Amino acid sequence: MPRPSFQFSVFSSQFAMLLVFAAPAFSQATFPSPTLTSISPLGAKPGTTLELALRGSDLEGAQSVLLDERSIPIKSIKPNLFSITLPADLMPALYDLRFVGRYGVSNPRVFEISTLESITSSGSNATPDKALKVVLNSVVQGCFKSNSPHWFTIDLKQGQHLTAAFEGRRFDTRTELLGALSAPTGRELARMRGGVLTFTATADASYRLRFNDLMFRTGDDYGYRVTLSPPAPPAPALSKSGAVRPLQIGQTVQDSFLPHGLAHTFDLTFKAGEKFIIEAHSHQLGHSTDPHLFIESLQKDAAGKETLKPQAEVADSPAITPVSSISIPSRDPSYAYEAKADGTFRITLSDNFNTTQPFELRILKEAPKPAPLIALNPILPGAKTKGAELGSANVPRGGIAALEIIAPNRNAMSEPIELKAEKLPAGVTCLGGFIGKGQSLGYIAFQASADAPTGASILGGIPQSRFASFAVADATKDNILYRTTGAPALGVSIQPAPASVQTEKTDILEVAPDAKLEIALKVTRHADFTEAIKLKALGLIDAAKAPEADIPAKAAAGKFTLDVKALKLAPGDYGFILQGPAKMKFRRGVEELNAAEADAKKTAEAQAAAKKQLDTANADATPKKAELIKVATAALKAADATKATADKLVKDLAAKSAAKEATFIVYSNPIRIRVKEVAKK
Amino acid sequence: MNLPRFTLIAALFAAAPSFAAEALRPLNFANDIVPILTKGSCNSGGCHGKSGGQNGFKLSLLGFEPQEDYEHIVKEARGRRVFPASAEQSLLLTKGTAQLPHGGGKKLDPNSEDYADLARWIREGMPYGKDTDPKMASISVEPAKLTMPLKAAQQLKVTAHYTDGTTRDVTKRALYEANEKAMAETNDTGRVQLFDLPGDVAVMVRYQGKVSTFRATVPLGAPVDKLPASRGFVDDLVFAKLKTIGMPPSDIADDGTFIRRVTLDITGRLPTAAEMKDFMASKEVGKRSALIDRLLDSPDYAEYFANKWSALLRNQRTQPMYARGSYLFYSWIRDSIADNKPYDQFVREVVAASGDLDQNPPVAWYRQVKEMKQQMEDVAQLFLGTRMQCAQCHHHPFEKWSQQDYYGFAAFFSNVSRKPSTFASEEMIFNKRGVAQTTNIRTKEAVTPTSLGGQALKLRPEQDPRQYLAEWMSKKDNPFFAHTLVNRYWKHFFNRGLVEPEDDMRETNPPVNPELLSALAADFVKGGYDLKKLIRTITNSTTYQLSAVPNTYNAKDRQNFSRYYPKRLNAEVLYDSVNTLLDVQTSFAGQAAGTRAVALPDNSYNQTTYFLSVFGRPDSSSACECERTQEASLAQSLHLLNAAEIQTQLSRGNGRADTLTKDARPDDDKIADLYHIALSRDPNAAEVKFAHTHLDKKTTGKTGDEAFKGKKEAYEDILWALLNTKEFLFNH
Repeated sequence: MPRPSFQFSVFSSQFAMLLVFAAPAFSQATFPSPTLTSISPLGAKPGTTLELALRGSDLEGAQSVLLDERSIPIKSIKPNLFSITLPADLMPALYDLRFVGRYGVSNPRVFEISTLESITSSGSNATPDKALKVVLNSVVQGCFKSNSPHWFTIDLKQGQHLTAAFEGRRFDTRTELLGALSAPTGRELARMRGGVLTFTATADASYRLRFNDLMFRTGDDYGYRVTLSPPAPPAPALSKSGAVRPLQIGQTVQDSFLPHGLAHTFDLTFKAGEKFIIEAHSHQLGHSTDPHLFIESLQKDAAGKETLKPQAEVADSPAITPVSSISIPSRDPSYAYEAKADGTFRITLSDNFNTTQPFELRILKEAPKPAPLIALNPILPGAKTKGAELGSANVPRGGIAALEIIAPNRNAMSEPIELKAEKLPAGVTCLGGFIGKGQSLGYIAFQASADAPTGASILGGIPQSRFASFAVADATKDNILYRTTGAPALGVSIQPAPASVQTEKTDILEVAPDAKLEIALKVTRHADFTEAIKLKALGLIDAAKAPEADIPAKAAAGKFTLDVKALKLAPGDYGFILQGPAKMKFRRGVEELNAAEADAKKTAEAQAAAKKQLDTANADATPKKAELIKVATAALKAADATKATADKLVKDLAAKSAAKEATFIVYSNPIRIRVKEVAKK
Repeated sequence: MNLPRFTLIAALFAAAPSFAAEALRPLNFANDIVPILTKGSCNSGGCHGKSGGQNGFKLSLLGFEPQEDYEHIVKEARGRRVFPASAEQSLLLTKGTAQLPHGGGKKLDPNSEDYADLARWIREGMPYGKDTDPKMASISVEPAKLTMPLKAAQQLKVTAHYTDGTTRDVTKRALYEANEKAMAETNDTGRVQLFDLPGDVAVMVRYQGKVSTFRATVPLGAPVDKLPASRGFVDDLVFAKLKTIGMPPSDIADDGTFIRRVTLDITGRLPTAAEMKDFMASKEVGKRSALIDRLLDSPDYAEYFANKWSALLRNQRTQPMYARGSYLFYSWIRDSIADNKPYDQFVREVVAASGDLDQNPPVAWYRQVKEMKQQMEDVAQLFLGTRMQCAQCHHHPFEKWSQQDYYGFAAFFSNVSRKPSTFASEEMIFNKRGVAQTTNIRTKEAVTPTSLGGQALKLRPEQDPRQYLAEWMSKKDNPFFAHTLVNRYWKHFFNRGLVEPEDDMRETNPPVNPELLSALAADFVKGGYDLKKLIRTITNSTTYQLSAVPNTYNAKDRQNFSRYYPKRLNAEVLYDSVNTLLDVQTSFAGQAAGTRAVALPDNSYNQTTYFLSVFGRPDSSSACECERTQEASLAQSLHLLNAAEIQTQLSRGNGRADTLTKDARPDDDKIADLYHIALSRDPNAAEVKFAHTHLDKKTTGKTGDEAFKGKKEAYEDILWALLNTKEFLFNH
């Protein structure tokens, strides 16, 4: 069964994540880690066998794809093209498809399982007279390879409804589809808005459908998949302005914003000593809204006359800033309050964007449990690229990897969170992680054994993940698109880790607020890695100012000094992780080279055999000599050609697999500290 | 009209000693001295009235701030500009009379009344006047309206009305300016001299911040015995005017002219040869109306008018990252036009836009109009035909708008705020909660949102003032909103607004046919701000369908719509028309092959396509239609005659010349095709003969490839000649 928690997001859902100079770890640029940039087709029927084009990098050693949690074997046909048989019991839905191969698991791409027949446009239907015929209850899909629109015709009878729905970036495409339906005369009758075109036929006719990208962009990233179905979507019900509504702690109100930015009004009555959190949810529900919360303290005199005194005006939640280069704003306001006396709040809620989109107003007694955590791929501070790269989370054999974990809607009253994960790949253990009281950011780490098999799994315990959908060379020139989906995947890479760092003690380290804490580090080096390592503490303070640990070249031990006083850490528990780049020579495609060399060896043997056959023929004294020489000569020619091809492949692969300097991320295990209260004198 | 009588009255006005009887009246600085400085242009923007003054002496622009002027003249620089003990030695007078070197030259005649009053004022100790002194309330001009013959003259009399009920003749100290310089000129004493153009001319009269208007109707006086059949109120009102001024209209345009004209005006493209032939062959009575309906239903209409609005709404791509927003905004405009979204709703969605570009593309408007004042000025000019810019720093010289009006109107945008969009370089727009208000920079007092001529609003902090602005604009009795739009569209079709310029609608710039403007506006409001209906009303009128060919009487008509005024095809339409004629498919970056220039989303293509820039495609950098230049230039002519771009397109393989050369039909048919495509008419016998002669000249004596080459060149020449004809370059 597909997970019901699958969440789609464009820019507006869950969080709008802004990278100013953002760069997911540059390890992805060098450390082999599978990435999918596009897939084709974008969907299929259950039970079918199809050729699946997967484009991206580090897709060697294909094993399977994950459709959400389900692993389905794939077979390589030629580079980037795979054969797959979809199980017949797959339920129609949108799935996250991830490639699993030698270097672990890739980022997801959306793949639709649908029982509808699909018609694929090759792009030759670039003019109305070359339109492809389509029918209701089908899917049209394609990819814009040129700047011409794609044309289709559809026969409709008078009164028949058509809804053409494009799911946009839910399919991880960059396409912003414009569509229009026109009469045979060319007159436009309906246009696609927000990915949906609806039309009711006024006469029996063959209507034309035209699709193109907003800016006529082309390439593998510009695919589309449009479902043509008969029912018209119901019109959304508009909320009406009304009187002040009473609210209670623990209650959730579901409604829609009033038009023109007008406000809903509520009265919340509370008792002294009660704690509660007022949360508006809309932006994080996937709506392009900007909720605005205004809270006033309501008092009534003996005559019942109301007096309002401003209590708080809450707009966007504070941005979560894992590192200086990344900001994760939420436009949903949240306000925590501990009542010192009985009272009433007059709450007004409006949408700054003047939409009539839905919202939920939640009056919580405490933060929701379990916390709605969101996993991000790790960010390496200080990376100087301006763009974003696709990321995937893979643990190298014998190494440690970590995921950043964001806890939204946190406030000063929010309790600490112990980070845990389940359903790990074979050979992987979870080292845990920690988010301190009132904090929003933490790291969860995983360790793979030296002999862990390659593979991947969808983690349990972290319900959501967020990732950049497209690689962007320069974020100042192109938009980084993000998507939030279900639980993150974790893979195991066959590539051994160059090094891993572990603290000697794994329990909570206590320190006074005016003291320095020295943490002994043990460094395990693999292969030929001997370089020095500079590690930074992530999750403690702004990463740009975070303390560092220097581990000398070849050293097997190091020391990390934490000046608690200088960092001005308040008493409490903290969790962090050490992370830093490590450079070493690395060879890609060694396996392919070895295989090619083995093949070349066989062709050399075949060539030698053919030569011998020719020698034998030349020595033959029978009447068949001429014939034997002819056959042997042909065989030798073929063997020469085969060997030449094999030798060239070896040469090419040898060039590709030449050792080049690569950057890896080295992680430590998660570290917990407790800053003690100042002893009262 | 009794001309000698008017002349006598005029002479009497001119001779009247306006100020003679007031010799002993105490002088008031604001009422008596400032007007002298204004009349002498001392406080004009080019002289001491500019923001920094001139050579150390500063006056308020046009004397709108008398108290400040008094300080500057009397007290500044230790009072060195005035010398009561010997008034005539005062710097104010010795400079003004150029006795001492004066950059502005001689502004005062020592023998004039102005000089005498200034000297007396100084001699009397430079009184400012009392608070109880009467203030000027208004001015009136006599006559206010007059029908005058061609080349006649008229002396105006201007009277100032004061708060105590007194009046004063201020004719000599008022300022005069005709709105149609080709029709009339004025002099300093208020004499209006007409030329030989019939029509309506208005003279704006200004005195101390007050304005009034003299309107002259100048009939031609020709017999208007027979008028074409009226098809509605447009014709009724136009023909009534023509009858009044004695100007018979031209005949009705033929079908070929009409289909070309209306197709170009509604869709920005030439009719196809097939469309033209079908239309000409049709015997249906209502075929013109049916054609108009078809054109309005076509995507071409939406594209063409989206092009117009995209420029006015400043849909600019000033940096590469704006591309997406520009496309989205253009697409939204185009869809709104195609949907025939009511105009008031269209405007509301722009003015009160909030959110992210992705969900609400009209927020792109706020991308180019960043500041509150700019937002207000654009809204005033674009949607209300009112230019408020002047009132930011001083009282509007030609209008009633004060700085209080300016800042009150600006306050509608005082809470517009921004936050970073999820798209790089873009911003999200929202109304920040709070009391909407701004500060009048002169009074330093808070001003709350106030509609033009309305009362200040007191809105609650959570209310978005822009919604109230939109509501006010679309009220049925709004005097600006509908008038501005119908005038803008009238100009689109007639190449001349009922008010010119179309976005400068003020009391002192009256419409040439006020009744028609009001009727169009009322009909537009009554019709629910239906833009297609407005276009139908205009284009179905007989007035619109009149021939551009003048008759004996109306060749000089520029404002009465007695004939269709030809207009050069605008840059995009001409570019597309040339490509249509030459059968060339366009290729614009980021657009499908064959995309018309009128369907381009933003200004960025002006840089890459020289044709568009040389023919004046606007850069979308202002809300003014004037950004689109329609003037002819040598560069345009040279481009059409010689540009490599044109020459290449003429001779390209599979282009028009190539396909016609390969076409086995008789040359007569092919020549006719060219005329149908380019001019929507059959060629006449002389034109066919001329083309034939040229074809023969290029092919006689040649065979095979040589003959083909010669024929192709001949067709290239014919095409080249056609696209350089005025008949092709103009909509007529």
